[in-house]
Amino acid sequence: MKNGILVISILMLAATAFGQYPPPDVSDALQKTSRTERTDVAGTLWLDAEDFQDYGGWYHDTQFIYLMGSGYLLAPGLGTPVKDAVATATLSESGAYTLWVRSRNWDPEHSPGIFKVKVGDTFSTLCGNAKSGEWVWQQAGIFPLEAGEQTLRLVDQSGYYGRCDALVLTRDEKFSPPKQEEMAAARAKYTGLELMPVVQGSFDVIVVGGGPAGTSAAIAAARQGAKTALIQDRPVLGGNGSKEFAVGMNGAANQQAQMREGGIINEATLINSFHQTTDFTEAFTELAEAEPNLHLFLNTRVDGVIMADQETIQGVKTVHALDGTRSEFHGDYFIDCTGDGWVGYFSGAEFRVGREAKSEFNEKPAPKEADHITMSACVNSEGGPFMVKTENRVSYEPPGWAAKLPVPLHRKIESLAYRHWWMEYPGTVDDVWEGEYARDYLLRIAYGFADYVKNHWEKKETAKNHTLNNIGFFLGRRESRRLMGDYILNLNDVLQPRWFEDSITSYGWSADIHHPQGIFSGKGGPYDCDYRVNPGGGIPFRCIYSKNISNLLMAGRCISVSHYALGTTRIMMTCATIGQAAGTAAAMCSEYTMTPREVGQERIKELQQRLIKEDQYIPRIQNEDPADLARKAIATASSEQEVWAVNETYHNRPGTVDRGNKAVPLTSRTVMCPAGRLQAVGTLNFLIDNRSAQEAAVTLQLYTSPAFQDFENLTPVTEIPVTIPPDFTGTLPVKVDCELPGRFLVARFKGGAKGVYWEVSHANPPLMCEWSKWEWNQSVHLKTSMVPAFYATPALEWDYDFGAANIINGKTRFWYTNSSVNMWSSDPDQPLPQWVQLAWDQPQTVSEVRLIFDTNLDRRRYNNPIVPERISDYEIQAWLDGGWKTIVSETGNIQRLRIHRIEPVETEKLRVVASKTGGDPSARIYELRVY
Amino acid sequence: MKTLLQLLCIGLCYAGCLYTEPVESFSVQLRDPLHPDMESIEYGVNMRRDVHGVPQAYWMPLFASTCYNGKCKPLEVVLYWDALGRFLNVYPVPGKPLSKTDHIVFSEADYAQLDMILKDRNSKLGSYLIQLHGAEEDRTVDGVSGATTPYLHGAVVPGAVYSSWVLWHWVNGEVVGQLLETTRRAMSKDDVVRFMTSDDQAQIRFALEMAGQAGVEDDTVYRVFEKADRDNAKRALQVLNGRFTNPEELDLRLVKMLGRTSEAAEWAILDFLGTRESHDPQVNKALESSIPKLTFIGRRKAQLILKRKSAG
Repeated sequence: MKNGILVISILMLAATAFGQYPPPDVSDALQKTSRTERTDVAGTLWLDAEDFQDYGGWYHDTQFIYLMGSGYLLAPGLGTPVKDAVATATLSESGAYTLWVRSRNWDPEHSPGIFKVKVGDTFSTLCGNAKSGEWVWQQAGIFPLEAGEQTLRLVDQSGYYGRCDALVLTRDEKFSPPKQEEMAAARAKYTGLELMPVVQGSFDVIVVGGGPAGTSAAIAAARQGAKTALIQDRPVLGGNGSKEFAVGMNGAANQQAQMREGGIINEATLINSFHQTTDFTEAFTELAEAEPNLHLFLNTRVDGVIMADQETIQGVKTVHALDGTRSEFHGDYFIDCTGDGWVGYFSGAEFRVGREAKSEFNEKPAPKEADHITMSACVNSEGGPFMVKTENRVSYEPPGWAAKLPVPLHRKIESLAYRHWWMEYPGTVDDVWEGEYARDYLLRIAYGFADYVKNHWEKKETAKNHTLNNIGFFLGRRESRRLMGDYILNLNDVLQPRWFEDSITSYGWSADIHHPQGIFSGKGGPYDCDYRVNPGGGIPFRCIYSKNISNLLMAGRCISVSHYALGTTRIMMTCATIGQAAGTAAAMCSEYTMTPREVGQERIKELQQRLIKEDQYIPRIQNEDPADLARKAIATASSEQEVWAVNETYHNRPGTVDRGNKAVPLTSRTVMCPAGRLQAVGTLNFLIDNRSAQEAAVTLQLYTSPAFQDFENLTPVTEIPVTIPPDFTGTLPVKVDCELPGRFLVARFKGGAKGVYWEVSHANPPLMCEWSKWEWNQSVHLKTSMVPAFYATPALEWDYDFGAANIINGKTRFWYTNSSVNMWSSDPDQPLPQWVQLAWDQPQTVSEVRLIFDTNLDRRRYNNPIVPERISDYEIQAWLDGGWKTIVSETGNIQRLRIHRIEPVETEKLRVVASKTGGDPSARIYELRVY
Repeated sequence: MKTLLQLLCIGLCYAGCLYTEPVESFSVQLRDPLHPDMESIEYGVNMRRDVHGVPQAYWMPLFASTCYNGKCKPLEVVLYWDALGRFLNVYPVPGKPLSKTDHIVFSEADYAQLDMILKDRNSKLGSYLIQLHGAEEDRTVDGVSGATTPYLHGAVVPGAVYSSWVLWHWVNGEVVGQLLETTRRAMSKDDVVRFMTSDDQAQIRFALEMAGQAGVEDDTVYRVFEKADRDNAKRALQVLNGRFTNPEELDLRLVKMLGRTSEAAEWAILDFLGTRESHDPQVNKALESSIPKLTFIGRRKAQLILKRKSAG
């Protein structure tokens, strides 16, 4: 019952959170609480906007404190004035008070963000309409005020992102508003702000930035035993994938089968899956808070460093994003996970911004001359769809400052609910030093896009009832500074894909670089390039430490890669694995008192082994840990699976084929799978959804191919006419009965099939893939995940070794190099429980058991709480006193890597008994380690 | 699509309108799926037998909660199953229609969708732990990277996540085993044979599971191959394999069946023969001569077996 109440509470909280922004917990975390006394100093009352007790509909925006000194209140009302922010303050004497307001007219030509200040019952003059586009003070009126408590209100007049940084009410006729560089001192004078830094302590490892890379780095370092500080300038963890920014987190598995990242990010992903949460804030927080060595500092922004010498950082200086207080953090090793390379920048680390010249790496799309072009950011935030459909026609008149977009736009508008990733500005915008301008530019584009779909789009009738719902105002950057290491990974490395002896992780997203003109590129965009990247490449360790700052590592998008290689390494889940590598390496630096470079040169194998022990995936690297007792054992099992095939049962497992979710137009895809050991096919069954009321007459074309992913050297096999009835939904059998004279079967439909969709499978055995040509941008895509669903009757079975010995073969996922599955899987025809066992010729003392389960590394998304393949209930048993004794009993497991530390037992046999999975009939285990 | 009226009719029919056999009652012990940690309690089940005396339909009145906070309307329904515990329909008590979270009464389309949901034994709802995962929101968008359909999309009646989940677990939960046991106890050998030779794969499966204890003759089991799907063919092979001490005798008998079986049974038999370490020459010869009678796939399988045997 307790659980029930908890669930209801969570549900109620979730229901409250959805549909509004910011979510209450994030909003609360941005509320300044430190200044309780609001009173004047010698006749001058200074009130920072964030000092308001009630922000109303204004939002405390701390994104740009590095540009203008502090957070400010922003009025994001989509054109409707937001609710007043309210403050009370005390004046010690009566008199005539002049009101000064610090604000910014973010578009001087149109003055979109205007507001007034209401002092008592009297309004100020209009604010936010200064001629300058900079942050400036405006004199907004003189108010005769009595001593005592006064109420001040920020009264939004437009709903279009008015912004207010500070108010001053002064009787001092000589008061001169401070300039930007004088602001901190003025705040100290009038509000009592303490500018002397507090030393927060000394740490082995200091991680700056709490996005996917930084959080993973900090957790990894802490788990390796390092006293670690994680300094994050936002109120929550997760970066672009946080509750604030709400960008769906992608990784290699989006494009490559069996390639989901392992390690900490997979741990967080599985927590998210279980709770069906798309942002990573809660999962990261849960994992970070579980580490006693990890000290978390939120709302804390690094704005300088303390150098011990020219190449060694001694500490970082920070400002608190909510109240301006200052701190110092001293440490031995630093990891820059800020995305923008701030720690590197402050410390003098070598960095680059923009595209390399073609002459440097001979990258195919590179310009002749190097430049400073970077990919655009996007605005985003939780709070619901971009546009929503209403009952009635809604007209739309864009504000004058909205961007004028090209007509036609030459973009595939998949849904009006999305803030499409290609809603971007040109790459000449400096995302760092023009950050606020960049965000505002994206607001202009968003309103311009609304104008386009409502008034200029060729399909504007489909948008006639739509209205704007949520624009977002967080600047989610894609690219800025890249700190230089001993090696710069380039596009040719990625496309090869090249493996390095010092690889510390992998990648799998395409080399996806957005067009330099952003949304204004017309037919040329939205990509600059989007080359497929095959599995097997590695990111060298030399890319994640600074070449000239001896104790600085970096992780995330600010690592040592070229502009074009960034296209694949910048993806958030990849960034997280880089973070795990950097955190682990930093802990080793601390442990051995070495520089990162020395670790790379002298202990790279140890680093790799430590990483894979924690389930990081590094191509070609397998378990060679001499301390692992399992490697000396003989493995046997109660039963073993013999073949792997897709059949009806496979598709019917819960969550494998999610009908309607990501279904693709029938004739848009070509699929491939092994031809099977029979080299013949009987009936092919396709999962079809005919959403039209018309019968569709198409032709099924079958080919064979000599090699996986080879769609060029096809041999025609047969063509079969197929009729799909109107409104048909389900499995469509097509009798084929023909031989398959090649290693792989290739199938596609041709003909008119408007409104007919092909359901996709969220899980596939290896060696299945799909090929498609995107007509809208003429590019070719090859994917091994989310393949359109089909199976043969009888199943096209192909042999794999699922033997028990796989659990100690050192590999923990499918290997493309030899097509080995590397897992033990029990015979699906044998009922659970099933077991796998290790036996030694001599008794061993066992104090730790590590298991790696199959959590389906093919999963693209993380909103499926049920993973069919995952073992949920199991026991670890030791052979003691002539019988099996249970030493670990687990139910409801959700993780891939499980570590069980136990009271030492001496045994010559150990087994894992799996009694329940998420629905798959087989029990599957990749690895069993014993210490 | 079934209308509500049709559902009502079916319910009433099963409840006794068309049958003359008297209604019998018994009790089952069930736990509330929303509170699996609580002790099971007794529920009354009604049953009517067919002319052979085998249970034909079961129905159980159910008054159950649909959420944890007590704010949801409880369900008041009658649930119907057939002899094999397969859900037939749900019949709301008159005046107590099913409703959604916002108390909107189920439409006919909602009932039709619910009917399909409850009949899907492979539903995601089976492994969905609502106590832990919660009832997800009807969220449609997760940001710039595209839409994510909620996990339970299609598995629940929109706006009635809890009702769908709760009913699915009542219908397909532990009651099924107890109904099957009741049917099993009522079955004579003749009934098992009748089931085994029916066209209903579920009845065949049920009968095959009882074949040993009921003492069904081999000839009856062989008849299964005439109609069996893949799974039942494999079950029948298991039954037979357990009875023969001389594998060649079984293999020869199976080969002689080829050409008179369902397609799935043909493939299952050939797969079974393919697992044999060695074959009697008589079996091989019979297999070779059966090839013209086989399906396209069957021919491929038989040729592979013979090729392997001749090579080995």
